[in-house]
Amino acid sequence: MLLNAIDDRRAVFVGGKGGVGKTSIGSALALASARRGSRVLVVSTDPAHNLGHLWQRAVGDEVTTLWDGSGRVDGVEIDPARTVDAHLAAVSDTMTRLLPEHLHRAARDHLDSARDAPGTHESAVLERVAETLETGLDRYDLVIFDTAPSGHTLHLLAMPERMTGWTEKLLANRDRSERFAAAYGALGGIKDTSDRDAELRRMLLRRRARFSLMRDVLADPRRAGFLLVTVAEPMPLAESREVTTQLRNLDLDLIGVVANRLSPADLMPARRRREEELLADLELGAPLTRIPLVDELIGLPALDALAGVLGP
Amino acid sequence: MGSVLLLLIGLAIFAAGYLVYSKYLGSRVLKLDPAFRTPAHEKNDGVDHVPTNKFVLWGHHFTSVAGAAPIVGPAVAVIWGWLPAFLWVTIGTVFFAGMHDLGALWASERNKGRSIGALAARYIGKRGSYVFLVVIGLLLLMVIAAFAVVIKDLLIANPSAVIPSWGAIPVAILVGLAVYKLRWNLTAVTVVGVVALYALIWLGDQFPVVLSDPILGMSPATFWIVALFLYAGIASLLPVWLLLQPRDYINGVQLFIGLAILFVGTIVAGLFFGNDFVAPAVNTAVPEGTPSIWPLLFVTVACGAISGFHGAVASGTTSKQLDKEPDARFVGYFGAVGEGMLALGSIIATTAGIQSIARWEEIYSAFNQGGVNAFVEGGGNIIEMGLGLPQSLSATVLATMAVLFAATTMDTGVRLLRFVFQEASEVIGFRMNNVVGTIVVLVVCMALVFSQGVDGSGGLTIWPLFGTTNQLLASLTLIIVTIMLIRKRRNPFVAVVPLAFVFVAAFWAAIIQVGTFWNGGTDTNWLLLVLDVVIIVATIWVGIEGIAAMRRAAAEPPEDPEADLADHVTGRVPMVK
Amino acid sequence: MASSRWAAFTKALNDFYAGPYRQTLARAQRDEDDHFMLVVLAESLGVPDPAAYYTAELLPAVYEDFHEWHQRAGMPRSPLDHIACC
Repeated sequence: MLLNAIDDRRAVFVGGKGGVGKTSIGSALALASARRGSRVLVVSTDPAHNLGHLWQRAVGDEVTTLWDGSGRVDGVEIDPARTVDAHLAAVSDTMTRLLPEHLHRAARDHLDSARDAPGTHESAVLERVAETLETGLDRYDLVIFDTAPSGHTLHLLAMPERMTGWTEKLLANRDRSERFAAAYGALGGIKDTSDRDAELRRMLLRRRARFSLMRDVLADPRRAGFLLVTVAEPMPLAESREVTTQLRNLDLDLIGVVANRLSPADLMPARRRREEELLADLELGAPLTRIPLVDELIGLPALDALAGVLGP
Repeated sequence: MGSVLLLLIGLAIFAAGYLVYSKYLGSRVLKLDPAFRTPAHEKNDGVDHVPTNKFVLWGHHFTSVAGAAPIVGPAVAVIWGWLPAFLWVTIGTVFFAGMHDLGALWASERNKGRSIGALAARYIGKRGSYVFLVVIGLLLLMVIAAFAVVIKDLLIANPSAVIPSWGAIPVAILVGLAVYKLRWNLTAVTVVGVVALYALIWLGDQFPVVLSDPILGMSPATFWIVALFLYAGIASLLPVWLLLQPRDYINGVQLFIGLAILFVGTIVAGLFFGNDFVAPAVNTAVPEGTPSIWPLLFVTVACGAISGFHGAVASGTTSKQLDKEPDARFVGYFGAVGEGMLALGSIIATTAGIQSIARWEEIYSAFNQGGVNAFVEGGGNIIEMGLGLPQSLSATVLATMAVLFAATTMDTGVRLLRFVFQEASEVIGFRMNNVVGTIVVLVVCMALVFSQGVDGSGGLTIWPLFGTTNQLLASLTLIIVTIMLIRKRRNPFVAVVPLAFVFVAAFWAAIIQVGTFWNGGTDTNWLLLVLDVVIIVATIWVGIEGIAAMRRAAAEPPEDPEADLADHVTGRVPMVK
Repeated sequence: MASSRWAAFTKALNDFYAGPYRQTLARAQRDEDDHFMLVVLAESLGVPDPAAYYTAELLPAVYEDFHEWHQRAGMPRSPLDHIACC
C-alpha cells in the first residue's frame, strides 16, 4: 500500500526527527520501486549523509548508480559548500570578463562576502533540491529526498514560495524601470541599457521559473508528497503532530506515516504494548505503516528485506 | 474688413520682427554661434540634456508658456479700445518679449543650462537667487488663484463647456494608459483623443450643465472653485504619465487647432462677410473706476507682450535641449511671436466679434469684467461667420480651449509650487512630503481666491497683481541679460530699454494697486494688500541689487571671449528646476 | 521619400509627447534602478541579505552603474573597500 502510494508520485520527501531511520526507509522504498521497473533517484539533503554508508558505496555530490536491475536506483549526497563555491566561481568568471585586470582581485573579495552571508548555505541546498527535482522529473520516474531533520526541511520547503515572491518583486521593479525608460524615449540618450535590462530580466525569469516550478510541484498532491518517519515514543510523536500541521500550512500532501523500529512483540511485549497505545492515539490523517526493528540494517540484502516489509 | 487688415498688419509686424530684429539680435548682439557646444551636447545625459529638433523644441516651449494669459489679458485690456492693446502686443512682442525670451534662453544655455535662479546668484549675488525664489513662488501662487477664477467664470457663463472640460480628464487618462501601458501608436492615439475631445464638445453643446443654487451647500461659484482645487491637487500627485503628460500633450495639439480655427475664421469673416470692429480704436468713454492706461495696460497684458514666466521655462528646460545656438532665435523669439499671435487673436475676437457696440459696452461695463467671456462670445461669432459653425458650438470650442489651457497651468502650477515649498522647507530644516506639500499649496491658494469674496466673485482683482509680478520676474531676467551683455561689451540697450520700461511700469502699477486694495480703509483686501507690499519690497530690492550689479559689470574689465567655455561654479544655490 | 518624412513626423510627435516629462520619468527610472542596486549590494554594504546567494549572480549586470550610483547616493568615494572604481 505504501509502495503504491509512493509509486503514484514523482517526488517524495522523506522526513522526520533525527535518527528515526529516514535514510533506510527512503532507500528501501527506492529499491522496491526500482525492482518494479522504475528509475529512481535518491537525493540526500541531510548534512549527516548516511546514504553511502547504507548502500555500502561511495556517494558524493555527483549522481552515482546504487542499483541497476529491472529498474535503477541512483543516489546523490548534496554538498552545499561545493555548490556555493561553484556558484560564486561562475559569477566571478563573469565579473572578471567584464572588469579590467586590476579589479579582479577586488571582485573576488567582494563575492566572498556573499559566501559568508546568512542564508547562503540553505540557498545552496534549495538550489540543488530544485535542480535535482527538475532532473528527476525529466529523467527519472521517482525522486526520493532523504531530508535533514524536520525543522530544517520544513524551512527549506517554505522557501520556494518565498523566493518566488522575492523574484517577482524584483521583476516588478525591472518592469517599472523599463517602462519609464521606454516612456521618455531612452533612445534619445547616449546610454543604451537595453542589453543589461534584457540580461537581468532573463536571469530573474530563470530564477522565478525554477522556484515556481518547485512550489507548484510541491503543492500538487498528484506529483509530490511527504512521508513522515517516526518512532513510537512520546517526543518523536509530538514532533510528528507539529510537522503534520506545518505540512498543511505548506500545502504539501502527507502521503503516509511510518512508525519505524517497533519493538518485537515476542521479545519485548510490554514495550510493544506501550508503543501500540501511543500509536492508537495518533491521528495524523494519513495511513500508518508499521515497520519492525531490523538488525544490522546495512547493505543491499538488508534493504531488500526492509523493502519486502514495505512492499505491495 | 478692418479686423482682417489689423490681423495682417499685426502678422506683418511679427514677421518683420522675426526676420529683421531677431536677426540683428542673433548676429550682432548675442552673437549666436553654430559651432558653440550647447549644454545639450556638452552633457547629453539622455534625460534633461537632449539635443532636440528645433521645431519640436519650439512646440514644447510654446505650449508650455502659451496658456490662458494671452487670451485673458488682452480680453480685459481692450476696455481701453483695440488700438492701445494692439500696439502694446505687437511692439511689445517684437522689442520686448522676443528679446526677453531669446535673451533668457541665450543666457541660460551659455551658462551650462542653469536656471534663472542660479544665474541670479551668479550675476547679481546670492541674495538675488532668494528674491527669485520668492518672486516665482508668488507668481505661481497668483497664477493658480487667478486661473481658478477664470475657469469658474467660464464654466458658469458657458454651461455647454462643462462636459468637455471635465470630460477631458478621462480622455487624457485613457491616452496616458494607451501610450504608457499599452504602448499603442502615438499618432493613432492622438487622432482618437482629439476626435473624442471634439465629440465631447459637441455633446456639451447639446447638454449644457447649469448647477443648482445652492449645490451641496455652496454657491455654484464656490463649488466650481473647490472642485477645481481638488482636481489640481489630485492631478499633481498622480504619476505624471497618467494624467499630466497626456493632458499637456492634448492641450498642445488643441492649441494649434484652436489657433487655426480662430485665424482662418477671422480672415474669412473679415474678407467675405464684412466683419469689422464694433469697439472703438481708443475708448474715450471708459466706464467709471477704470484705471488709466498707464501703467495698468502694461501689466494687464503681460503674456503676449512680455512675460517673466517664459524666462523661467526657457532657462528651466528649453535651454538644456537646444541643439545649435542659432536655433534659439526660432525657439525663443518665435515662441514669443506665437504668443503674440494668440493675444492678437484675442484682441480681434473681443473687439470685432461682439455683435454691436451696445452689447460691447454692456460686457465692458467695468474694469476686470468682460474678460475671457468676451473672447468666447466674440470668437464664437467670428467663427460662425467665417467657418459656418453655429455660434454656440464655436463658443463651446473656445470656452473649452480656454478652460483646458488654464486648467493645465493650474495643475502644473500646483506641482511646481509644491516643489518650491518643499525646497523652502528644507532650507528651514524640515521635510515636507508630497501630500502635505500639496495640501499646503491648495490651502494657501484657496485662501487667496476666497479672500476676494466668499465665492471668489471679486472678479479678477488679482490679475493686475499677477501681471505685475510677472513683469518683475521679467525685469530680473533682463537685468541678468544686460549684465551679460555689459560684460561682453555688446549693445546693452536692446535689453536696458525693455528693462527700464517694464520695471517702471510694474513698480508704478504695484504702488497704484496699494490704493485699490486698501480701498480707503473700508473693505480692505488684506491678503492682496500684503502680497502687493511684498512685491513692492521685492521690486525695490531687485532695482537696487540690479543697478549695483550692472554698474559693477560696467566697471570691471570686459569678459574674456572664451569665458563661457571655462567652468564657473559659484556654489550651490537653491533653485527651482 | 514619403515614408521617411512620415517617420520623422512620428518621431517628432513622440518627442513632443515625451519631452516635457522626460526628467520626471528618468528620475523615476533612476529611483527604481537605485533601489535594485541596493538590493543587490545589500550584503556587501553590511545589511544581512538572506538571498545573497541569488543577488550575487545579479551583480555582474549592475556593476557598470555602480560608480554613478554611489555618487548619486551621496558617497563621493566608493563605499566598498574592494571595489575601487574611483
